[in-house]
Amino acid sequence: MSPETVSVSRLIQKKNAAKDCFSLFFESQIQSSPGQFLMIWIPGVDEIPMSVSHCRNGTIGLTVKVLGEATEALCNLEEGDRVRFRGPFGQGFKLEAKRPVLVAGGVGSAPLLLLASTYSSMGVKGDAIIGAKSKDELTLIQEFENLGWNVYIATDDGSNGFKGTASDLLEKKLKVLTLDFLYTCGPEKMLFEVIRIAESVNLPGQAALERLMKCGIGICGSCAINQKLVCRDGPVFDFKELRKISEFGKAKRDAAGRLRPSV
Amino acid sequence: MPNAKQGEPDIGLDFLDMKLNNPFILASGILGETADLLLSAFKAGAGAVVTKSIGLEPRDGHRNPTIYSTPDGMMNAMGLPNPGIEDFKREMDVLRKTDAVVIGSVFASKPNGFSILAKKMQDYGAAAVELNLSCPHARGYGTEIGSTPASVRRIVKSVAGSVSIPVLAKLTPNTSDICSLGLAAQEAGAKAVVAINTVKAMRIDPLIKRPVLANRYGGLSGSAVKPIGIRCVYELFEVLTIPIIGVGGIATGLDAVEYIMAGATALQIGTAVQTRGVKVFSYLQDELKEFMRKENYGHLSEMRGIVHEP
Repeated sequence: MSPETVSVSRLIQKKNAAKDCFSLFFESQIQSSPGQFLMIWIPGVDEIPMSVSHCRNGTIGLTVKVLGEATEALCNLEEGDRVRFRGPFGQGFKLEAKRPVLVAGGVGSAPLLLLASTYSSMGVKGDAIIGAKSKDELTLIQEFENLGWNVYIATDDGSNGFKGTASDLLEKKLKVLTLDFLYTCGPEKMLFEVIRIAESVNLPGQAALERLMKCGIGICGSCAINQKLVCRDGPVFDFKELRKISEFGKAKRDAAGRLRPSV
Repeated sequence: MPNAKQGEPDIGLDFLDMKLNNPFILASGILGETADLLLSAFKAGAGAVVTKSIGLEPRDGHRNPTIYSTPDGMMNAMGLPNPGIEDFKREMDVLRKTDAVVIGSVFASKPNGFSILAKKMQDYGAAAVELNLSCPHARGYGTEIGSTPASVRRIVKSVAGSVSIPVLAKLTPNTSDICSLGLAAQEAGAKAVVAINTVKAMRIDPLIKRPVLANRYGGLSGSAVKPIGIRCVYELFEVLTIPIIGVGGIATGLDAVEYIMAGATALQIGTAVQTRGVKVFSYLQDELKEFMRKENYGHLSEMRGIVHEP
């Protein structure tokens, strides 16, 4: 990593994206491919990996759900506050689909939004299946619609759209939609299910994974998933790669490096 | 150098009861927390691999940021995160079923703790144990207990009396006299010393107005510390009879040659695994052999320590 990948940016805009979830826009020249991530340092708090949801005209956008101390501090930033970025790092999504379908769970829609906007700028549009526990947790729906994508909504409690999970809705939609490639991001249990469904109809695709990260540059091993490093070899993996990774959907390492069953 | 021109230069090593295919060893702290990652380094061509430093209890390590890249190096303050010696058995059990040469790195705050850990590593099948007497960024460990000869002597003696596998002492450069530390380790029964660990360092972000690492200071590695490492190996070679494993900014075959000419028998690779990828282990072998071919060296021993005055 060369030192140019480090940059300090100011928050210029904060928008509510869902319940306890904000899109944060920073003045930045960073050019991130869809699926890549940044290490963002909230001074005095922590430095965490975040995928990029918006990247255009000198602005970088992250869509952040409050899940812990660092994400809470991030969402409490005010306009003008400074953060430091390292990155972008990692392997992003392949842009080879003619007819892509996106399957998102919760804030997993964030990296898929940058993917959708990149495809739209190439003149390719597709379908987005977006799920959440409840309607107030559906994230970035309007932005996918603004890009001209067909959006299908699933909520666990049926408060909006299809009642059930995004993977349940995918299974239904596979019968009626014409698709050649699937992209997915969300809770790992959902990814596991989505991949099972896609492979049952020989639909190729990629999934973006999440692991605890420290260095972000492929040396500390914190984000190890079998022989792969999520920061260096991922975070985006081909379905056929994931099939060879026995820890996928089953186990994660904690901050001390202990392998623990996924909950 | 009879016959040096014929055939491939020999870069294998018979070293402390270990047969190493080449002198390049994965340094501790790099990809060393899991069996799968250690194996990936071994398969990529490392002669041996050193585990992450393992302690008696699980430790989360310091809060992020823990890493900062400088133009010619890297600073880290990971803070010795590790799963603890009991949990680490899982990883060692996997490695045991392979042909990987594994050196177990351990850290503790007291001699007895080091001995307990070293015995566990021996039980787990480690070919040698490396004592971390030199981490510069964890309170109560590493440099804090490894920077006086008396303390080094106590720890090494305790461990050497407890295990039959070779004991390696990894020394700190954050001292005015590394030779006294090396001599203490040798007298206490170390079979080799490893020099150097990272150099205590700090950077500040002028816009954020804070040190760039959450721990404020960390350890500098990479090209920036190579001249310090070579100087330390040179000084140690002057006074020690046991082998020296050189580490600090080795990224190319020529870097390795410098360390060997200063007196190193084997070499450890850390930061270069990030800059050149895990394939660095095959690049280093090719580059070292190429130099030896061109300069008519048949064996590593023909280069070792040659810059010292007779």
